[in-house]
Amino acid sequence: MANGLAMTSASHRGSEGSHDTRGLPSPVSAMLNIGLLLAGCVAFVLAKSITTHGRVHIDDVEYLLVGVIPPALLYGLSLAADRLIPDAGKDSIARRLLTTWLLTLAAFCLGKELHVYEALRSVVEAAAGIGRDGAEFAMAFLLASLASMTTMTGFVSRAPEKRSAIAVSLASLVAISVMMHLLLLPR
Amino acid sequence: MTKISKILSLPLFSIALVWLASTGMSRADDYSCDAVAGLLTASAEQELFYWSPDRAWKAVPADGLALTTSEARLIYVTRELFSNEPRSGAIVVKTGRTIASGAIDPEPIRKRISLNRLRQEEFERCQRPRDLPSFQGSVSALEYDWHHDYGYDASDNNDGYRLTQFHTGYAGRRDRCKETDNTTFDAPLRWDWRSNRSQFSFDPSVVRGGFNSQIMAGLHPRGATAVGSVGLADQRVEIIKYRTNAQNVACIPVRVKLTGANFFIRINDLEGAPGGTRLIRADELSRQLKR
Repeated sequence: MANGLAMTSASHRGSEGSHDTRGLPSPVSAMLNIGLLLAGCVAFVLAKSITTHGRVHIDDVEYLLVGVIPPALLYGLSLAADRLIPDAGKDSIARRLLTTWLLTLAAFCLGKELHVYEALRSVVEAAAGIGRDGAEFAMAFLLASLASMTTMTGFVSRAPEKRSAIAVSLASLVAISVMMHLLLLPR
Repeated sequence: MTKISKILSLPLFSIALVWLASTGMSRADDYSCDAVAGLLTASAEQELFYWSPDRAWKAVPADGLALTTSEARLIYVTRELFSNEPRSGAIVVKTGRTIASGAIDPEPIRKRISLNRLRQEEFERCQRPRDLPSFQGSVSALEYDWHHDYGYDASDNNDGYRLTQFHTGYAGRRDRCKETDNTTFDAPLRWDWRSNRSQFSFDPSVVRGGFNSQIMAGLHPRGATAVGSVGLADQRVEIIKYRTNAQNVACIPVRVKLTGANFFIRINDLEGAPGGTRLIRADELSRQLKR
């Protein structure tokens, strides 16, 4: 998938006029994509470790492989988004979505490490009058929203088709929230 | 005038009787304070006394105490040095014994930690809606360590449920309601990562420095290993709420059953603080009780 991302990166640059590198992935771009993918997998395993009380750890290869699924789905979403907003470029959208996923996981891990996550979840639980599962989903949505604001604001503001860009952002927000909630459940 | 005072005195006496009857713990407290009054050190924020075989209260030496009986009568004294106002608080009494080297140490999942919290009606103001008036039960050492050494959420099982029932709300300084399982750090800017929940740990380094890192546990090939209860047996934890008296002292009677050699008692005052200009949590009081 990282190669796929790199290829799309090259094709996008090609469309901007750099004919010499058409079809060839730039090493920097490929490394960036692979780095994002690996970081996403590691962050997923760390988040999973936290929700399972440390029963999952970094050398659990099967969880590292499961960690590839969300980026793969987000890559699929970026392909769909490319049809809606052809000028944005698949690679650009894919990278933004992957970064959103990574930031959401990082915010979750940091929130747990600094023990602010539980306090915030209690507030959400009490304020909304929902159960623990509902509060967990609300927290996943909140973290994904914060990450999405960081990564997608520029994309939406620069996109020529604002409605489509907003639709893509919202779709990714919902997808990331659902994936966070489902994949990080301790069960 | 005499008539008025006679009319007033009877209801006042009745009110005083009812008040005394309802504050059983406070009376016990005053009795305990009287018992050790001559032994108190004005500058010590916490002290521990024991009922010696020669029928007198004595301070438990810092290097431990050799006892011939299987039960020890103790009085824990906490002194408020930070402020002049009387205050409420709660202590955590952790007891257990260190397993001798060479003896079998069961896996933490197979060990049970006994949890106790007696009903203290006079302190029910700050109890949370989900809190039971009292609690007695046990949880696996693994579950206990995950919750108190790493700060993980209580599991979605019976042990996790028992842990949440064991912890409770209590009145702290300025009568503000607090929670015994609160994870808010004391002062991160001063690099003080301790919290109420971390004070329940059986790992002295967690009590001194705060939770183990959840992220580092995930990066470790062995994951989160239960460290607090490794090498320990007969672990028991009790929460006792108190209020300081007019002399800014609270004397809390504690009875412990010594289950074998290398027995220890560790007491953490969740609101205790040494004197000074900054409010800093008091250290754990740890004593060996040898048989």
